[in-house]
Amino acid sequence: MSSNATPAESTVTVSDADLSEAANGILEQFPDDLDGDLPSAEEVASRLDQMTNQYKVPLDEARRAAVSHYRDVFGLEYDDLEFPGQSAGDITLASVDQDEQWVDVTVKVVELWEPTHDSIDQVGLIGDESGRLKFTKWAKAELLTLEEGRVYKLSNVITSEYKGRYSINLNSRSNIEAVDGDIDVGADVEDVQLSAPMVAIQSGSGLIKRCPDEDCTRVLQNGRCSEHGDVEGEFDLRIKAVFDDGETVQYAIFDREATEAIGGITLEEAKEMAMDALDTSVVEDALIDALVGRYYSVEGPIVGRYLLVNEAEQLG
Amino acid sequence: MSESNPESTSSSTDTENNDSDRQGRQVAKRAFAAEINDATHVFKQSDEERAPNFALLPSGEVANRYFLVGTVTEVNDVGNEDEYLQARVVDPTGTMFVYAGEYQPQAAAFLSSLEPPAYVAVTAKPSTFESEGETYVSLRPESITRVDDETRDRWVAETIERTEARLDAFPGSDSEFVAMSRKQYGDSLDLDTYREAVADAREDLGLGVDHRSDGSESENTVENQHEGDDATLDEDGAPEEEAFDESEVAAAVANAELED
Repeated sequence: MSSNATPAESTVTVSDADLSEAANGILEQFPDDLDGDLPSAEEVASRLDQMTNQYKVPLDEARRAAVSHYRDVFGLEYDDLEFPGQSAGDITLASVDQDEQWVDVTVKVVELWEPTHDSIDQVGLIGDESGRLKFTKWAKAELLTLEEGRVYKLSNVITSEYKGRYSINLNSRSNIEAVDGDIDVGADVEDVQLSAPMVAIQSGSGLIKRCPDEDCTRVLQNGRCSEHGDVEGEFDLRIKAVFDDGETVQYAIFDREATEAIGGITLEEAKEMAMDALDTSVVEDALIDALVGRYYSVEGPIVGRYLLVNEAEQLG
Repeated sequence: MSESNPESTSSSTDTENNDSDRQGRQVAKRAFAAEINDATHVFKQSDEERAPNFALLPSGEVANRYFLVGTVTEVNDVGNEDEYLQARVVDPTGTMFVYAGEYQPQAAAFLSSLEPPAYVAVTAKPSTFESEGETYVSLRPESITRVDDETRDRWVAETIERTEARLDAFPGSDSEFVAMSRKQYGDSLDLDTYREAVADAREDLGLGVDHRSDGSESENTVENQHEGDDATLDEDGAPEEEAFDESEVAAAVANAELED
């Protein structure tokens, strides 16, 4: 994951030595027992050479694209790749500030939530003295079941970032070890309750499509996932709302369940509506008409800058 | 690996959103028409080109945007060639003017199909324009939706609270915006006007009216709304003076209640 190429290096000519080092680094990430032969280091280097020296793509990006390409060729999940010496080591949750960084954390399970998808084994909040973060434990990782209130050392977990808020993913490369003792979890994230009008619904609300890759679920932009390219997206409903009581602004996310409850519309109805209009944006517009400008009481944990809505009720 | 984060680019089509997201979105202030229409001093806090505009509320606060709920009484196309809709939005203290043209497609579509009277909730940015030597406040809607009377009453109650809090804090405040209001609005600054506005709003909600003896509250409310209209066009006009004594009583009552 780390790169020894600075942007300055990569925008000028990338040397053969660097290309070959990068090519070998890529090949090391692929397991040995593949169906089919791995490309030679020369082939990979030539691919990188074309992207960097011919198309002026930074080496880091070229490397990423090459990994993604070979992953497609061999039908591998991101999870299947190997990252020697990958973990950045023990860190505190509050210090997480990078996407896709492998780290070790020792945390208490603060809260377990209901998984929203079969691919998710457990989801919830973990915390240490420094703060709290959402975590997702993927079903196919086949890891130990976490219990609320217990302390664990989670090693080789990977961070992910979504709109400036971070979370921790546990996948098949991760380890869970129960640890004796207790942690006084930092109080920076609590369920909060607020009463305020919804003053805006942001774009990217309503009927959206997510990447079908179970480790990804990114929202597609024009049918494309930034990680997986053109994919057959899966429909979902959400609202990115702004609440404003005249003194502070609070961003909030309604997931599908919360959106269905407050918007009085099911995912199926939203799909029909979009089908009739030949346009998914009608759902966002309908939600704006139905919801913006009214007062609500909403409740949920604050993660990053978002309140994740568990309960919402319009105030009459 | 994360140079191309999908979510961080998703709102880039809406540069204003994107911009304010990065700096933190500006709060939507609550104020009545009587005060919004007097907040004619609009300024930037920095020299940067994209720095947000703020309207200086006479009660010593600044507003980059407002959230308000009122009754649309009339929608007119005041554009020359292109459609430019002017909506009169009335609250218990006066009339605000909301304008929507081609750059506010959602609001323009909404207003052109709206049949007044109707309660609406508006999130809007203030600006000003000059006409015949007078400065008028206009509001540019970011969103406008139809709401019910309960939402409207809730907004009136909330705005009473916020306005009173500003007025109460004003006399002893060392806030830079209180100082700016004193300097900027100088002689024309009369905070009693907004006490009266609050009193009108309380009366509208049926708060504190039972302390009064003449039994003409509902009639007065309607009258005051009309007077508010006039006042926005002519700040020194007679209507406010006519309503003065009565409103002063109501304001005193309102204050007495606050102290309880």
